[in-house]
Amino acid sequence: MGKETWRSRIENSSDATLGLRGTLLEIIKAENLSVEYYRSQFSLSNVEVSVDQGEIVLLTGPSASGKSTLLYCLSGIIPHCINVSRYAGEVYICGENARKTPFVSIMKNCGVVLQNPTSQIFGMTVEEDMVFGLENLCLKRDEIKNRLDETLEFVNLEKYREADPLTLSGGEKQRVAIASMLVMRPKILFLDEPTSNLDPRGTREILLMLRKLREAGKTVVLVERKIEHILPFVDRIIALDRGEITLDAEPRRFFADEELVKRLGVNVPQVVRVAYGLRERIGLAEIPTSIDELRDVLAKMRSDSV
Amino acid sequence: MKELVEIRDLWFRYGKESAWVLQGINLAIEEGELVSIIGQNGCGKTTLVKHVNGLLKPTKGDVLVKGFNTKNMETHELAKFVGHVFQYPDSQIFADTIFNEVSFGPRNLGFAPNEIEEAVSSSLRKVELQKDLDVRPDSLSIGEKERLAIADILAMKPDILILDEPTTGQDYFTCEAIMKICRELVDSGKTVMMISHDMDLVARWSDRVVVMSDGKIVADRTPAGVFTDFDLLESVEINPLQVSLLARMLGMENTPVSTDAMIESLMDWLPR
Repeated sequence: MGKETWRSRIENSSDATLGLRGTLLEIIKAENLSVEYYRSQFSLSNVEVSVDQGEIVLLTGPSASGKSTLLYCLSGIIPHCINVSRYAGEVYICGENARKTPFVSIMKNCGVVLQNPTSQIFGMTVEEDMVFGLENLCLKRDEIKNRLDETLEFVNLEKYREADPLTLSGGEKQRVAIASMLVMRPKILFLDEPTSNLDPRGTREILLMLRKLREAGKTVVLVERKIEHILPFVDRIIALDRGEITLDAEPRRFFADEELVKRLGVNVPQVVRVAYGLRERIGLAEIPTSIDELRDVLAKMRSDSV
Repeated sequence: MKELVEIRDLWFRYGKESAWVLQGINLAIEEGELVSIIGQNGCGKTTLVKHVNGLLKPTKGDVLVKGFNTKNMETHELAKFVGHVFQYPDSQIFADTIFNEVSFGPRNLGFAPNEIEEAVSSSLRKVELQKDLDVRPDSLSIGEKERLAIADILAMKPDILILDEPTTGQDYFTCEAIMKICRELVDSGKTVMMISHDMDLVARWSDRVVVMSDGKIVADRTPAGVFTDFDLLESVEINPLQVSLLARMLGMENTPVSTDAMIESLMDWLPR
Protein backbone atom coordinates (compact mmCIF):
# COMPACT_ATOMS: atom_id res chain seq x y z
CA MET A 1 0.00 0.00 0.00
CA GLY A 2 1.69 3.17 -1.17
CA LYS A 3 1.56 6.08 1.20
CA GLU A 4 -0.35 9.01 -0.15
CA THR A 5 2.03 11.85 -0.83
CA TRP A 6 1.34 15.53 -1.11
CA ARG A 7 2.27 15.25 -4.75
CA SER A 8 -0.46 12.71 -5.49
CA ARG A 9 -2.87 14.82 -3.48
CA ILE A 10 -2.10 17.88 -5.56
CA GLU A 11 -2.37 15.99 -8.81
CA ASN A 12 -5.74 14.57 -7.82
CA SER A 13 -7.16 17.64 -6.18
CA SER A 14 -9.63 19.90 -7.87
CA ASP A 15 -9.68 22.51 -5.19
CA ALA A 16 -11.94 24.86 -7.04
CA THR A 17 -13.47 25.87 -3.71
CA LEU A 18 -10.33 27.66 -2.75
CA GLY A 19 -9.24 28.63 -6.21
CA LEU A 20 -5.83 27.08 -6.12
CA ARG A 21 -5.01 24.72 -8.84
CA GLY A 22 -1.53 25.29 -10.03
CA THR A 23 1.61 23.71 -11.24
CA LEU A 24 3.93 22.01 -8.83
CA LEU A 25 6.54 24.42 -7.69
CA GLU A 26 8.78 25.49 -4.94
CA ILE A 27 6.46 28.00 -3.40
CA ILE A 28 8.73 29.27 -0.62
CA LYS A 29 12.47 29.32 -0.45
CA ALA A 30 14.79 30.71 2.20
CA GLU A 31 18.46 30.99 1.30
CA ASN A 32 21.11 31.36 3.95
CA LEU A 33 18.73 33.42 6.06
CA SER A 34 20.00 35.10 9.23
CA VAL A 35 17.89 37.39 11.36
CA GLU A 36 18.48 39.19 14.63
CA TYR A 37 16.21 41.43 16.65
CA TYR A 38 17.10 44.49 18.66
CA ARG A 39 17.76 43.56 22.31
CA SER A 40 16.34 40.09 22.15
CA GLN A 41 17.67 36.57 22.45
CA PHE A 42 15.68 35.25 19.49
CA SER A 43 17.44 34.89 16.16
CA LEU A 44 17.90 32.77 13.07
CA SER A 45 21.24 31.82 11.58
CA ASN A 46 21.97 30.43 8.13
CA VAL A 47 18.56 28.87 7.63
CA GLU A 48 17.82 27.04 4.37
CA VAL A 49 14.19 26.07 3.79
CA SER A 50 12.27 25.04 0.74
CA VAL A 51 8.52 24.39 0.70
CA ASP A 52 6.75 22.92 -2.31
CA GLN A 53 3.22 23.75 -3.28
CA GLY A 54 0.67 21.58 -1.50
CA GLU A 55 2.99 20.60 1.31
CA ILE A 56 1.93 20.83 4.94
CA VAL A 57 5.03 21.72 6.91
CA LEU A 58 5.28 21.74 10.68
CA LEU A 59 7.86 23.94 12.41
CA THR A 60 8.67 22.83 15.92
CA GLY A 61 11.33 23.19 18.60
CA PRO A 62 11.82 24.38 22.17
CA SER A 63 11.04 27.88 23.44
CA ALA A 64 13.17 30.59 21.84
CA SER A 65 14.29 28.25 19.07
CA GLY A 66 13.14 30.62 16.31
CA LYS A 67 10.01 28.81 15.09
CA SER A 68 7.78 31.87 15.06
CA THR A 69 10.59 34.05 13.72
CA LEU A 70 11.00 31.66 10.80
CA LEU A 71 7.23 31.67 10.21
CA TYR A 72 7.30 35.48 10.12
CA CYS A 73 10.19 35.46 7.64
CA LEU A 74 8.59 32.90 5.33
CA SER A 75 5.41 34.99 5.25
CA GLY A 76 7.14 38.35 4.75
CA ILE A 77 5.99 39.77 8.09
CA ILE A 78 9.72 40.08 8.74
CA PRO A 79 11.11 42.44 7.49
CA HIS A 80 7.92 44.32 6.50
CA CYS A 81 6.00 44.51 9.79
CA ILE A 82 8.58 43.66 12.43
CA ASN A 83 11.82 45.62 12.60
CA VAL A 84 14.95 43.55 12.83
CA SER A 85 18.50 44.65 13.47
CA ARG A 86 19.93 42.20 10.95
CA TYR A 87 18.44 40.53 7.90
CA ALA A 88 20.84 38.61 5.69
CA GLY A 89 20.11 36.11 2.96
CA GLU A 90 16.93 35.99 0.91
CA VAL A 91 13.40 34.62 1.11
CA TYR A 92 11.37 33.98 -2.03
CA ILE A 93 7.60 33.68 -1.73
CA CYS A 94 5.90 32.47 -4.92
CA GLY A 95 9.06 33.43 -6.77
CA GLU A 96 9.18 36.99 -5.45
CA ASN A 97 11.95 38.33 -3.25
CA ALA A 98 10.26 39.00 0.09
CA ARG A 99 12.59 41.87 0.98
CA LYS A 100 12.17 43.77 -2.28
CA THR A 101 8.51 43.08 -2.98
CA PRO A 102 5.93 45.44 -1.49
CA PHE A 103 4.11 43.89 1.45
CA VAL A 104 0.75 44.29 -0.29
CA SER A 105 1.91 42.02 -3.11
CA ILE A 106 3.22 39.42 -0.69
CA MET A 107 -0.04 39.41 1.22
CA LYS A 108 -1.92 38.45 -1.93
CA ASN A 109 -0.21 35.08 -1.65
CA CYS A 110 0.04 34.66 2.11
CA GLY A 111 -2.60 34.32 4.80
CA VAL A 112 -1.24 34.56 8.32
CA VAL A 113 -3.12 33.58 11.47
CA LEU A 114 -1.42 34.62 14.68
CA GLN A 115 -1.32 32.61 17.88
CA ASN A 116 -4.13 34.52 19.55
CA PRO A 117 -6.95 34.88 17.01
CA THR A 118 -8.61 37.71 18.95
CA SER A 119 -5.64 39.91 18.13
CA GLN A 120 -6.65 39.93 14.48
CA ILE A 121 -10.46 39.69 14.65
CA PHE A 122 -12.09 43.10 14.61
CA GLY A 123 -15.40 42.81 12.72
CA MET A 124 -18.67 43.22 14.63
CA THR A 125 -19.95 40.09 12.90
CA VAL A 126 -18.21 37.07 11.41
CA GLU A 127 -19.29 38.21 7.96
CA GLU A 128 -17.95 41.72 8.47
CA ASP A 129 -14.61 40.35 9.60
CA MET A 130 -14.37 38.09 6.59
CA VAL A 131 -15.30 40.60 3.88
CA PHE A 132 -12.96 43.37 5.04
CA GLY A 133 -10.05 42.18 2.92
CA LEU A 134 -12.23 41.53 -0.11
CA GLU A 135 -13.79 44.97 0.02
CA ASN A 136 -10.33 46.47 0.16
CA LEU A 137 -9.39 44.55 -2.96
CA CYS A 138 -12.40 46.27 -4.59
CA LEU A 139 -13.94 42.98 -5.65
CA LYS A 140 -17.43 42.95 -7.14
CA ARG A 141 -20.37 42.38 -4.82
CA ASP A 142 -21.25 39.01 -6.38
CA GLU A 143 -17.69 37.80 -6.15
CA ILE A 144 -17.52 38.79 -2.48
CA LYS A 145 -20.76 36.99 -1.75
CA ASN A 146 -19.65 33.83 -3.54
CA ARG A 147 -16.36 33.69 -1.76
CA LEU A 148 -18.02 34.37 1.59
CA ASP A 149 -20.57 31.57 1.15
CA GLU A 150 -17.92 29.14 -0.04
CA THR A 151 -15.51 29.86 2.80
CA LEU A 152 -18.17 29.85 5.53
CA GLU A 153 -19.15 26.38 4.36
CA PHE A 154 -15.54 25.26 4.22
CA VAL A 155 -14.86 26.24 7.84
CA ASN A 156 -18.34 25.14 8.91
CA LEU A 157 -19.35 28.50 10.35
CA GLU A 158 -22.47 29.22 8.28
CA LYS A 159 -24.70 29.49 11.31
CA TYR A 160 -22.44 32.10 12.91
CA ARG A 161 -22.48 34.45 9.92
CA GLU A 162 -24.24 37.21 11.88
CA ALA A 163 -22.67 36.39 15.25
CA ASP A 164 -20.25 38.64 17.12
CA PRO A 165 -16.94 36.77 16.73
CA LEU A 166 -15.83 37.62 20.25
CA THR A 167 -18.77 35.71 21.74
CA LEU A 168 -17.65 32.48 20.05
CA SER A 169 -15.57 29.70 21.59
CA GLY A 170 -11.79 29.49 21.16
CA GLY A 171 -11.97 26.98 18.33
CA GLU A 172 -14.63 29.00 16.55
CA LYS A 173 -12.65 32.24 16.89
CA GLN A 174 -9.60 30.47 15.49
CA ARG A 175 -11.73 29.32 12.55
CA VAL A 176 -13.04 32.85 11.97
CA ALA A 177 -9.46 34.13 11.83
CA ILE A 178 -8.53 31.36 9.40
CA ALA A 179 -11.68 31.97 7.32
CA SER A 180 -10.83 35.68 7.03
CA MET A 181 -7.57 34.59 5.46
CA LEU A 182 -8.94 31.78 3.27
CA VAL A 183 -11.54 34.06 1.78
CA MET A 184 -8.69 36.06 0.23
CA ARG A 185 -7.58 32.84 -1.49
CA PRO A 186 -3.96 32.93 -0.45
CA LYS A 187 -1.62 30.38 -1.99
CA ILE A 188 -0.03 29.71 1.38
CA LEU A 189 -1.60 29.65 4.82
CA PHE A 190 0.58 30.29 7.87
CA LEU A 191 -0.70 29.23 11.29
CA ASP A 192 1.14 30.08 14.52
CA GLU A 193 0.20 27.47 17.14
CA PRO A 194 -3.38 27.03 15.96
CA THR A 195 -4.35 24.54 18.69
CA SER A 196 -2.12 25.39 21.63
CA ASN A 197 -4.64 27.65 23.36
CA LEU A 198 -7.66 25.48 22.62
CA ASP A 199 -9.56 22.91 24.65
CA PRO A 200 -10.02 19.36 23.32
CA ARG A 201 -13.22 20.32 21.49
CA GLY A 202 -11.62 23.33 19.77
CA THR A 203 -8.58 21.24 18.87
CA ARG A 204 -10.82 18.68 17.16
CA GLU A 205 -12.45 21.46 15.12
CA ILE A 206 -9.13 22.79 13.90
CA LEU A 207 -7.86 19.31 13.04
CA LEU A 208 -10.96 18.68 10.94
CA MET A 209 -10.26 21.88 9.07
CA LEU A 210 -6.62 20.98 8.59
CA ARG A 211 -7.73 17.69 7.06
CA LYS A 212 -9.93 19.59 4.60
CA LEU A 213 -7.13 22.00 3.73
CA ARG A 214 -4.90 19.02 3.10
CA GLU A 215 -7.48 17.39 0.87
CA ALA A 216 -7.83 20.66 -1.01
CA GLY A 217 -4.09 20.65 -1.67
CA LYS A 218 -3.40 23.85 0.20
CA THR A 219 0.14 24.78 1.19
CA VAL A 220 0.25 25.22 4.95
CA VAL A 221 3.16 26.18 7.18
CA LEU A 222 2.39 25.90 10.85
CA VAL A 223 4.13 26.19 14.19
CA GLU A 224 3.04 23.85 16.95
CA ARG A 225 4.63 22.38 20.06
CA LYS A 226 2.06 19.74 20.99
CA ILE A 227 2.28 17.74 17.81
CA GLU A 228 0.59 14.43 18.64
CA HIS A 229 -2.77 15.26 17.08
CA ILE A 230 -1.43 17.21 14.15
CA LEU A 231 1.06 14.62 12.96
CA PRO A 232 -1.31 12.63 10.70
CA PHE A 233 -1.89 15.76 8.59
CA VAL A 234 1.74 16.76 8.18
CA ASP A 235 4.07 16.00 5.27
CA ARG A 236 7.27 17.31 6.75
CA ILE A 237 8.62 18.43 10.10
CA ILE A 238 11.33 21.03 10.54
CA ALA A 239 12.87 21.26 13.99
CA LEU A 240 14.72 24.36 15.09
CA ASP A 241 17.08 24.83 17.99
CA ARG A 242 18.64 28.16 18.92
CA GLY A 243 17.88 29.66 15.55
CA GLU A 244 19.22 26.82 13.45
CA ILE A 245 17.48 24.01 11.62
CA THR A 246 18.54 20.78 13.23
CA LEU A 247 16.24 18.30 11.51
CA ASP A 248 14.11 18.47 8.37
CA ALA A 249 12.37 15.26 7.35
CA GLU A 250 9.06 13.57 6.68
CA PRO A 251 7.48 12.34 9.95
CA ARG A 252 8.74 8.75 10.01
CA ARG A 253 12.29 9.72 9.20
CA PHE A 254 12.04 12.65 11.58
CA PHE A 255 11.42 10.34 14.53
CA ALA A 256 13.99 7.72 13.49
CA ASP A 257 16.73 9.09 15.77
CA GLU A 258 15.25 8.89 19.27
CA GLU A 259 18.13 10.56 21.01
CA LEU A 260 18.20 13.52 18.66
CA VAL A 261 14.44 14.00 18.85
CA LYS A 262 14.54 14.02 22.65
CA ARG A 263 17.48 16.39 22.72
CA LEU A 264 15.48 18.79 20.53
CA GLY A 265 12.76 18.93 23.18
CA VAL A 266 10.10 17.61 20.84
CA ASN A 267 6.90 16.50 22.57
CA VAL A 268 7.10 12.86 21.47
CA PRO A 269 3.62 11.36 20.91
CA GLN A 270 2.66 8.24 22.86
CA VAL A 271 2.56 6.13 19.69
CA VAL A 272 6.14 7.04 18.89
CA ARG A 273 7.25 6.37 22.48
CA VAL A 274 5.68 2.90 22.25
CA ALA A 275 7.42 2.34 18.91
CA TYR A 276 10.77 3.32 20.48
CA GLY A 277 10.18 0.79 23.27
CA LEU A 278 9.35 -1.96 20.82
CA ARG A 279 12.29 -1.14 18.58
CA GLU A 280 14.63 -1.47 21.53
CA ARG A 281 13.23 -4.86 22.52
CA ILE A 282 12.24 -6.62 19.34
CA GLY A 283 13.34 -4.32 16.54
CA LEU A 284 11.18 -2.23 14.21
CA ALA A 285 12.26 -1.21 10.72
CA GLU A 286 10.42 2.11 10.83
CA ILE A 287 8.90 4.34 13.48
CA PRO A 288 5.14 4.70 12.89
CA THR A 289 3.81 8.14 13.81
CA SER A 290 0.06 7.53 13.96
CA ILE A 291 -2.18 5.05 15.76
CA ASP A 292 -3.32 3.54 12.48
CA GLU A 293 0.23 3.03 11.24
CA LEU A 294 1.33 1.37 14.46
CA ARG A 295 -1.78 -0.81 14.55
CA ASP A 296 -1.06 -2.04 11.01
CA VAL A 297 2.57 -2.80 11.87
CA LEU A 298 1.58 -4.71 15.01
CA ALA A 299 -1.26 -6.62 13.34
CA LYS A 300 1.15 -7.69 10.61
CA MET A 301 3.78 -8.81 13.11
CA ARG A 302 1.18 -10.95 14.85
CA SER A 303 -0.29 -12.51 11.72
CA ASP A 304 3.14 -13.14 10.17
CA SER A 305 4.22 -15.32 13.02
CA VAL A 306 1.00 -17.32 13.30
CA MET B 1 -4.18 11.88 55.62
CA LYS B 2 -5.62 15.26 56.47
CA GLU B 3 -8.19 17.08 54.42
CA LEU B 4 -6.71 20.32 53.23
CA VAL B 5 -9.58 21.52 51.09
CA GLU B 6 -13.19 20.59 51.54
CA ILE B 7 -15.83 21.84 49.15
CA ARG B 8 -19.44 21.19 50.19
CA ASP B 9 -22.31 21.60 47.76
CA LEU B 10 -20.77 24.63 46.09
CA TRP B 11 -22.99 26.65 43.79
CA PHE B 12 -21.75 29.77 42.05
CA ARG B 13 -22.95 32.33 39.56
CA TYR B 14 -21.33 35.61 38.56
CA GLY B 15 -24.53 37.67 38.89
CA LYS B 16 -28.02 37.26 40.27
CA GLU B 17 -29.54 36.93 36.81
CA SER B 18 -26.79 34.87 35.20
CA ALA B 19 -26.65 31.11 34.79
CA TRP B 20 -25.07 28.85 37.38
CA VAL B 21 -21.41 28.28 36.56
CA LEU B 22 -20.90 25.73 39.33
CA GLN B 23 -23.74 23.44 40.28
CA GLY B 24 -23.39 21.47 43.49
CA ILE B 25 -19.66 20.71 43.63
CA ASN B 26 -18.48 18.33 46.35
CA LEU B 27 -14.75 17.75 46.54
CA ALA B 28 -12.26 16.86 49.26
CA ILE B 29 -8.55 17.18 48.67
CA GLU B 30 -5.93 15.77 50.99
CA GLU B 31 -2.35 16.66 51.79
CA GLY B 32 0.20 15.27 49.38
CA GLU B 33 -2.02 14.85 46.34
CA LEU B 34 -1.56 15.96 42.75
CA VAL B 35 -5.08 16.50 41.51
CA SER B 36 -5.76 17.39 37.88
CA ILE B 37 -8.98 19.00 36.72
CA ILE B 38 -9.97 18.40 33.11
CA GLY B 39 -12.92 19.40 30.93
CA GLN B 40 -13.81 21.69 28.04
CA ASN B 41 -13.40 25.47 28.30
CA GLY B 42 -16.37 27.05 30.02
CA CYS B 43 -17.15 24.01 32.20
CA GLY B 44 -16.13 25.82 35.39
CA LYS B 45 -12.58 24.60 36.09
CA THR B 46 -11.06 28.03 36.63
CA THR B 47 -14.13 29.25 38.54
CA LEU B 48 -13.77 26.25 40.86
CA VAL B 49 -10.10 26.75 41.67
CA LYS B 50 -10.62 30.48 42.24
CA HIS B 51 -12.80 29.46 45.19
CA VAL B 52 -9.87 27.71 46.86
CA ASN B 53 -7.79 30.87 47.22
CA GLY B 54 -10.84 33.00 48.00
CA LEU B 55 -10.78 35.08 44.80
CA LEU B 56 -14.40 33.99 44.49
CA LYS B 57 -16.80 33.25 47.35
CA PRO B 58 -19.60 30.68 47.05
CA THR B 59 -23.07 31.87 46.10
CA LYS B 60 -24.31 28.80 48.00
CA GLY B 61 -22.40 26.13 49.88
CA ASP B 62 -19.03 26.20 51.65
CA VAL B 63 -15.35 26.00 50.85
CA LEU B 64 -13.05 25.06 53.72
CA VAL B 65 -9.29 25.50 53.46
CA LYS B 66 -7.32 24.00 56.34
CA GLY B 67 -10.59 23.99 58.25
CA PHE B 68 -11.24 27.71 57.73
CA ASN B 69 -14.35 28.70 55.82
CA THR B 70 -13.30 31.01 52.97
CA LYS B 71 -16.45 33.09 53.60
CA ASN B 72 -14.82 34.37 56.79
CA MET B 73 -11.36 34.86 55.34
CA GLU B 74 -9.79 37.61 53.27
CA THR B 75 -7.91 36.61 50.13
CA HIS B 76 -4.63 37.91 51.59
CA GLU B 77 -5.10 35.62 54.62
CA LEU B 78 -5.66 32.65 52.34
CA ALA B 79 -2.55 33.63 50.35
CA LYS B 80 -0.46 32.18 53.19
CA PHE B 81 -1.84 28.74 52.39
CA VAL B 82 -2.87 28.86 48.77
CA GLY B 83 -0.74 29.98 45.84
CA HIS B 84 -2.38 30.48 42.48
CA VAL B 85 -0.40 30.59 39.24
CA PHE B 86 -2.63 32.14 36.63
CA GLN B 87 -3.19 30.90 33.11
CA TYR B 88 -1.22 33.67 31.42
CA PRO B 89 2.04 34.62 33.17
CA ASP B 90 1.86 38.12 31.67
CA SER B 91 -1.27 38.82 33.71
CA GLN B 92 0.64 38.07 36.89
CA ILE B 93 4.14 39.44 36.33
CA PHE B 94 4.41 43.16 37.05
CA ALA B 95 7.73 44.10 38.64
CA ASP B 96 10.78 45.71 37.01
CA THR B 97 13.30 43.07 38.05
CA ILE B 98 13.24 39.36 38.76
CA PHE B 99 14.18 39.99 42.41
CA ASN B 100 11.38 42.50 42.97
CA GLU B 101 8.98 40.16 41.24
CA VAL B 102 9.73 37.05 43.27
CA SER B 103 10.24 38.88 46.58
CA PHE B 104 6.90 40.69 46.37
CA GLY B 105 4.91 37.84 47.88
CA PRO B 106 7.15 36.96 50.82
CA ARG B 107 7.67 40.68 51.58
CA ASN B 108 3.93 41.18 51.82
CA LEU B 109 3.54 38.13 54.01
CA GLY B 110 6.01 39.71 56.44
CA PHE B 111 9.04 37.46 55.90
CA ALA B 112 12.29 38.73 57.50
CA PRO B 113 14.89 40.14 55.03
CA ASN B 114 17.13 37.08 55.18
CA GLU B 115 14.09 34.84 54.77
CA ILE B 116 13.06 36.82 51.70
CA GLU B 117 16.47 36.36 50.08
CA GLU B 118 16.40 32.67 50.88
CA ALA B 119 12.85 32.30 49.52
CA VAL B 120 13.77 34.11 46.28
CA SER B 121 16.91 32.10 45.61
CA SER B 122 15.42 28.74 46.56
CA SER B 123 12.29 29.22 44.47
CA LEU B 124 14.28 30.39 41.43
CA ARG B 125 16.54 27.37 41.89
CA LYS B 126 13.50 25.08 42.00
CA VAL B 127 12.17 26.40 38.68
CA GLU B 128 15.70 26.38 37.22
CA LEU B 129 15.61 30.00 36.19
CA GLN B 130 19.27 30.95 36.18
CA LYS B 131 19.18 34.65 35.43
CA ASP B 132 20.61 37.69 37.13
CA LEU B 133 18.23 39.05 39.74
CA ASP B 134 18.14 42.49 38.09
CA VAL B 135 16.99 41.19 34.70
CA ARG B 136 13.73 42.67 33.46
CA PRO B 137 10.97 40.02 33.40
CA ASP B 138 9.61 41.34 30.09
CA SER B 139 12.86 40.33 28.37
CA LEU B 140 12.21 36.66 29.19
CA SER B 141 10.77 34.09 26.82
CA ILE B 142 7.26 32.78 27.43
CA GLY B 143 8.60 29.55 28.96
CA GLU B 144 10.84 31.51 31.31
CA LYS B 145 7.96 33.80 32.27
CA GLU B 146 5.82 30.80 33.16
CA ARG B 147 8.56 29.48 35.42
CA LEU B 148 9.03 32.94 36.93
CA ALA B 149 5.31 33.08 37.71
CA ILE B 150 5.62 29.73 39.48
CA ALA B 151 8.68 30.97 41.39
CA ASP B 152 6.63 34.00 42.58
CA ILE B 153 4.18 31.65 44.20
CA LEU B 154 6.69 29.10 45.52
CA ALA B 155 8.48 31.93 47.34
CA MET B 156 5.43 32.29 49.60
CA LYS B 157 5.77 28.62 50.54
CA PRO B 158 2.10 27.74 50.14
CA ASP B 159 0.55 24.44 51.25
CA ILE B 160 -1.59 24.31 48.15
CA LEU B 161 -0.34 25.24 44.72
CA ILE B 162 -2.91 25.90 42.03
CA LEU B 163 -1.73 25.85 38.43
CA ASP B 164 -4.09 26.94 35.67
CA GLU B 165 -2.87 25.40 32.39
CA PRO B 166 0.80 25.69 33.36
CA THR B 167 2.13 23.86 30.31
CA THR B 168 0.15 25.60 27.56
CA GLY B 169 2.58 26.81 24.94
CA GLN B 170 5.55 25.28 26.74
CA ASP B 171 8.12 23.03 25.15
CA TYR B 172 8.83 19.52 26.37
CA PHE B 173 11.70 20.52 28.67
CA THR B 174 9.66 23.22 30.40
CA CYS B 175 6.64 20.90 30.78
CA GLU B 176 8.78 18.23 32.36
CA ALA B 177 10.52 20.78 34.60
CA ILE B 178 7.17 22.15 35.80
CA MET B 179 5.77 18.69 36.48
CA LYS B 180 8.90 17.65 38.36
CA ILE B 181 8.53 20.72 40.58
CA CYS B 182 4.93 19.68 41.24
CA ARG B 183 5.90 16.11 42.03
CA GLU B 184 8.60 17.22 44.47
CA LEU B 185 6.15 19.53 46.24
CA VAL B 186 3.62 16.73 46.51
CA ASP B 187 6.21 14.29 47.77
CA SER B 188 7.14 16.78 50.46
CA GLY B 189 3.53 16.83 51.65
CA LYS B 190 2.20 19.82 49.68
CA THR B 191 -0.85 19.66 47.46
CA VAL B 192 -1.06 20.62 43.81
CA MET B 193 -4.25 21.31 41.88
CA MET B 194 -3.68 21.59 38.16
CA ILE B 195 -5.96 22.47 35.27
CA SER B 196 -4.76 21.07 31.96
CA HIS B 197 -5.85 20.07 28.48
CA ASP B 198 -2.78 17.90 27.95
CA MET B 199 -4.20 14.45 28.66
CA ASP B 200 -0.90 12.62 28.17
CA LEU B 201 0.64 14.84 30.84
CA VAL B 202 -2.38 14.49 33.15
CA ALA B 203 -2.30 10.69 32.88
CA ARG B 204 1.43 10.54 33.53
CA TRP B 205 1.71 12.83 36.53
CA SER B 206 -1.59 12.97 38.45
CA ASP B 207 -2.65 10.97 41.49
CA ARG B 208 -6.26 11.82 40.84
CA VAL B 209 -8.27 13.24 37.95
CA VAL B 210 -11.44 15.28 38.38
CA VAL B 211 -13.55 15.50 35.22
CA MET B 212 -15.90 18.48 34.91
CA SER B 213 -18.73 19.21 32.52
CA ASP B 214 -21.30 22.01 32.63
CA GLY B 215 -20.43 23.11 36.14
CA LYS B 216 -20.56 19.63 37.64
CA ILE B 217 -18.03 16.99 38.57
CA VAL B 218 -18.83 13.97 36.41
CA ALA B 219 -15.94 11.77 37.55
CA ASP B 220 -13.31 11.79 40.28
CA ARG B 221 -10.97 8.82 39.92
CA THR B 222 -7.40 7.68 39.37
CA PRO B 223 -5.95 8.50 35.93
CA ALA B 224 -6.48 4.86 34.87
CA GLY B 225 -10.09 5.01 36.09
CA VAL B 226 -10.77 8.04 33.90
CA PHE B 227 -8.77 7.23 30.78
CA THR B 228 -9.97 3.65 30.37
CA ASP B 229 -13.63 4.74 30.52
CA PHE B 230 -14.23 5.56 26.85
CA ASP B 231 -17.94 6.26 27.40
CA LEU B 232 -17.09 8.89 29.98
CA LEU B 233 -14.46 10.46 27.70
CA GLU B 234 -16.87 10.53 24.76
CA SER B 235 -19.57 12.16 26.87
CA VAL B 236 -17.22 15.05 27.68
CA GLU B 237 -15.71 15.13 24.17
CA ILE B 238 -12.18 14.27 25.21
CA ASN B 239 -10.13 11.99 22.98
CA PRO B 240 -8.81 8.79 24.57
CA LEU B 241 -5.06 8.49 25.03
CA GLN B 242 -3.26 7.08 21.99
CA VAL B 243 -2.08 3.95 23.82
CA SER B 244 -5.55 3.18 25.21
CA LEU B 245 -7.12 3.62 21.80
CA LEU B 246 -4.50 1.41 20.19
CA ALA B 247 -5.09 -1.33 22.78
CA ARG B 248 -8.81 -1.28 22.02
CA MET B 249 -8.17 -1.33 18.26
CA LEU B 250 -5.96 -4.37 18.67
CA GLY B 251 -8.57 -6.08 20.84
CA MET B 252 -6.24 -6.32 23.81
CA GLU B 253 -7.80 -7.38 27.11
CA ASN B 254 -6.50 -4.55 29.26
CA THR B 255 -6.41 -0.84 28.47
CA PRO B 256 -3.07 0.70 29.40
CA VAL B 257 -2.80 4.45 29.99
CA SER B 258 0.99 4.72 30.01
CA THR B 259 3.47 3.91 27.28
CA ASP B 260 5.48 1.65 29.58
CA ALA B 261 2.40 -0.42 30.44
CA MET B 262 1.51 -0.56 26.76
CA ILE B 263 4.95 -1.85 25.79
CA GLU B 264 4.70 -4.54 28.49
CA SER B 265 1.23 -5.56 27.30
CA LEU B 266 2.41 -5.68 23.71
CA MET B 267 5.29 -7.98 24.61
CA ASP B 268 2.65 -10.47 25.81
CA TRP B 269 0.28 -9.77 22.95
CA LEU B 270 2.87 -10.31 20.24
CA PRO B 271 3.76 -13.97 19.74
CA ARG B 272 7.32 -14.97 20.58
